[in-house]
Amino acid sequence: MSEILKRAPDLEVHEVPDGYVVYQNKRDNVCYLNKTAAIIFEFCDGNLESDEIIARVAKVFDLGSSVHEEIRACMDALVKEGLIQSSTT
Amino acid sequence: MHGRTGEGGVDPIQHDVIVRTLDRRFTLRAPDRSVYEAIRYLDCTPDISGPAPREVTIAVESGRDYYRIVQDGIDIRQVVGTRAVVEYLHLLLFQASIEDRPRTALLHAACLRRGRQRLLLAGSKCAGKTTFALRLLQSGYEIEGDEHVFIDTSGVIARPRGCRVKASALPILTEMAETIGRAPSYTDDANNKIFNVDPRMLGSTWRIEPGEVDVVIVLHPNHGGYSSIRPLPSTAMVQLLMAEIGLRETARGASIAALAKLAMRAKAFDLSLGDHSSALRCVELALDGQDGDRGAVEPHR
Repeated sequence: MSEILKRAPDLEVHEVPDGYVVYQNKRDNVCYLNKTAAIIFEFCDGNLESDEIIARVAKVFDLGSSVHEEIRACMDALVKEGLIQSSTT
Repeated sequence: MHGRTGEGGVDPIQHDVIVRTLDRRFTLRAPDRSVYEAIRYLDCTPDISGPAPREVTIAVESGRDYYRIVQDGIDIRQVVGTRAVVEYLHLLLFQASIEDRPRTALLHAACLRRGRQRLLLAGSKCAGKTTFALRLLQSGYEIEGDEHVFIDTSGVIARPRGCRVKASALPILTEMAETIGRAPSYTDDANNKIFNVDPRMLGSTWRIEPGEVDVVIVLHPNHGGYSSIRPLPSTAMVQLLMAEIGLRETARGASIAALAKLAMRAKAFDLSLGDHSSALRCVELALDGQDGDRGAVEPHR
C-alpha cells in the first residue's frame, strides 16, 4: 500500500518572502510554513506518493538520504496540523 | 474646540468639542464649563484625506443631579458626574470609529510618516509606542496615530485619535513635557493622569491618509537599557502581529490576507527599545534600507 498526500480543503494560502501563511477557515487557525515546509506542502497535490515526495524534496535541496527522516517528520507535522490529508491506495 | 454663543444672546454660552472618525465629524456640545473641560480629552481634529465627513451632534444636557446625553433628539444615556460623561462618550466614539470600517481588521500600532515613507510601530500595551513616537516626532517624523491602524490589502489608515501620554512618561519627554502638561487630561481609576496630545501642539502636522507601509517595527521594551534592532523574517512578523490584531468576525481570512500582503511589501524589524537616541538611529537605518541580509535568519513555526 502507498500513502498519497493532498492539501486539506478550505485553506487560504498566502505566500510571503520566506514561506507561506496559511489560514484554516474551519479551525480559525493560522500556520506559518518556512520555505522547506512550503515546498513539501506544494508537492502534496494528491498525485505523488509520500516516498516520492521525500525523494523529490531531497533532490530539490541536493541532499542525501540522511534527511529523509526530517522530511517525513515535516510531512507528519503538516498532517497533524490538518494542512494536508493522508490516504492509502 | 469652539466656544459659541446661542442665537440672540438668549442661550448661555455653549462649548463644542469636535471629534473626527474616518467618516464622521462629531460635535460634542457641553452645557457648562466643567463638562467642556472634561470632554476636551476626547478632542480629535486631524486633517483626514477623503470625502467630507457626515455631521453628527451629541449634546450633553444638565439634569437635576445627572447629565443626559442626547443624539438626534433622543436621550441615549443618563450618567452621574463629568467623569462618567467622558467615559461614556469615549466608548461611544470608539465604537463609532470601528463601525466606519466594519470589515477591516484593526492593528494595534502607531503610524508615522517620514517624507513619503510610512512606518508602523507595533507592540503590546506599555511597549513604549506613544513615547517613542513622540521622540520620533521631535526628529521630524509626522504622527498619524499612536494606537490603531485599519489594515486591508490596499494598505493602512490610522484610526483618528490624539496621542495619549501618561503623566508618568513626562520625565522621559523632557523638552516636550511642559507643552504636553498643558493638554487636556483625564485621570483614570488608578489615579494615572493621561494627556490627550494633538501633534500640532508640538509643532508638527496631523494629517491622516491611506497608504502602504514601508517599515514595520515590533517594539520590545528594554527600559533602562540599550536599544538594538534586527531584521525580522516576514513569517515571524505575521506571527507577532497576530497577537496585536483585532480580527473582524465576518472577515477573518481577509484580515490574514492583509497581514500577509503587509509582510510582502514592508520590511520588518524587531526593536529592543531602550535609550531613545540609539533607538532613533536604529529606525533611521531601517528606513534607509541598511538592513543587512534580511534572509539570513531562518523562520520557524
